[in-house]
Amino acid sequence: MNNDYVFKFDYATLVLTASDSIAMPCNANQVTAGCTSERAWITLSSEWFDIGVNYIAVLSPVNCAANYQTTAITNASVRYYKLDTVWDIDTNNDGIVDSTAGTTDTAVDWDKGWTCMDVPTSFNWQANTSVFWQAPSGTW
Amino acid sequence: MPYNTVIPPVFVQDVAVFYIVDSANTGYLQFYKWNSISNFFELQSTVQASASTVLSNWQTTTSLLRTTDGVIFSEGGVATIYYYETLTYTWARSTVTVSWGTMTSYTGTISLVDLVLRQARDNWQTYSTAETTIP
Repeated sequence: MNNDYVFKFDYATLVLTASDSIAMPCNANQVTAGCTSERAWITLSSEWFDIGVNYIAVLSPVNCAANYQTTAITNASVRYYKLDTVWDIDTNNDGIVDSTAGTTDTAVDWDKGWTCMDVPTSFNWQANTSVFWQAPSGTW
Repeated sequence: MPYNTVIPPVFVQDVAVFYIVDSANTGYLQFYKWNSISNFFELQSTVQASASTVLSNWQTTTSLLRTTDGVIFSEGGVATIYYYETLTYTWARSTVTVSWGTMTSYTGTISLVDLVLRQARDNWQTYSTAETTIP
């Protein structure tokens, strides 16, 4: 991984083969200016990153709704990426989904697959313990 | 504290592999094999894994991953990625190459010196109850 991408590798017989790259999310300002020049949302470091079966998760020091150079950062967030996400296809890099070019011109969704959840700044865990320890009926 | 174990140990079948850094800032891989008679992990081999002294941020830049027959080791500041065989207990080291496959646009643009590898999680939902099955 580096600060811009997570790569998926497959391993076999002494070869790590890159099979996919996952772009780290940028907001509109950063897409314009370039993710590397104004990166403020996620600094990807291995200790803030983990891989599950269906998702990767990255801790971010910036809350979900923060707007670059506009709003104050209120809290941290966790960003999830669903690993089986099928990206919009934009082979000519014009920002328009290829299949819609010239007709409806649907913009490429750069954040496709990503979900953001704010980490609460404070939470009364004690009062809510039963919520977490009590299994939903019939589901476990 | 003379030795630090910060990188989680990796288990490959009946072998446990630890990465430790000693007080001289040298990193070692320690290979333990399960002794099924006495029921404990027995130290089989210790090899220096770091090329020289480790980086100050080695805790977050060292990669130790499990494969079906060995471990993959990569350290920050070193471009070469290594594989250590554990299946036949030789602990033999080989070099792992990186192929960018369909991601060839990244060839040469990603610094392997800074590449940190993380293990993808096994899909435990598809585990077999047969103990001989390797996930």
